[in-house]
Amino acid sequence: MEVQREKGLRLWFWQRITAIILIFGIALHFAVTHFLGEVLSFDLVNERLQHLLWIVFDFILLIAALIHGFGGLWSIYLDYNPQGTVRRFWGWVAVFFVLILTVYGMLSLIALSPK
Amino acid sequence: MGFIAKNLDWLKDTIINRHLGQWAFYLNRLTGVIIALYLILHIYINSLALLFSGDTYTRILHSFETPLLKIFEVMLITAVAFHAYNGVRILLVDFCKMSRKQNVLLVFVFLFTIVTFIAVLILYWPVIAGTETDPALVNKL
Repeated sequence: MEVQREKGLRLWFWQRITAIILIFGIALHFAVTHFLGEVLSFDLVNERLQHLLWIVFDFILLIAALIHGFGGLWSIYLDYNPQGTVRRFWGWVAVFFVLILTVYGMLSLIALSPK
Repeated sequence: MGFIAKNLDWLKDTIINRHLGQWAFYLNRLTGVIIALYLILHIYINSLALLFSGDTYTRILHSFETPLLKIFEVMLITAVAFHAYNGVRILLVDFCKMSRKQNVLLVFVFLFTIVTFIAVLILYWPVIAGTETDPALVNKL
């Protein structure tokens, strides 16, 4: 795609792709975890996560939310026109957080899903 | 541009630019930052089973069923709802050639957000008002 070649537009592009995933994903997430009127517990979440599709769904939602969230914070940071080393430093901090939280979130999902 | 100068610039924009879109921009940022910070907390809470045990996870989730935290949840869902509806507006403007309709769309964004707020408030009202009588919950608490 044309926008992929322009570095400044890559963030814009991925914010929109993740936004589309999140709009549908969070609607479903709220429906099953918050609006059923049940009080959440380990057993309830464990029962749902017995289905592999729910684990995949939760994992996609986790990655999309992390990219969109940290991408959004990054775009606010860019509004202050940071330059050079400081900018690169905080860029790597953001990437580090996204990667660490993705792994940590996946481990949490596994811990919630034993038979 | 420095941090203070930038924010003064935004303030000037708001005073000069009395356009609904300016408020949509601010609210989108504000709700975005709140949701991003909450996301980290959300990931931590869901890792309680990983860090401790399933029982700890259940016990702590049940301890959140208080009126104050339900009000917090209603506000959080309202913030997510606004951010999502405004996101749909931005997607329509960017991808569906609706930039000329963005003002009308914005009115719908605010209307849908208010409707969502009222709907969630009604849904959570039993807990907020302290009249929750679910025996299973009372026993566990």
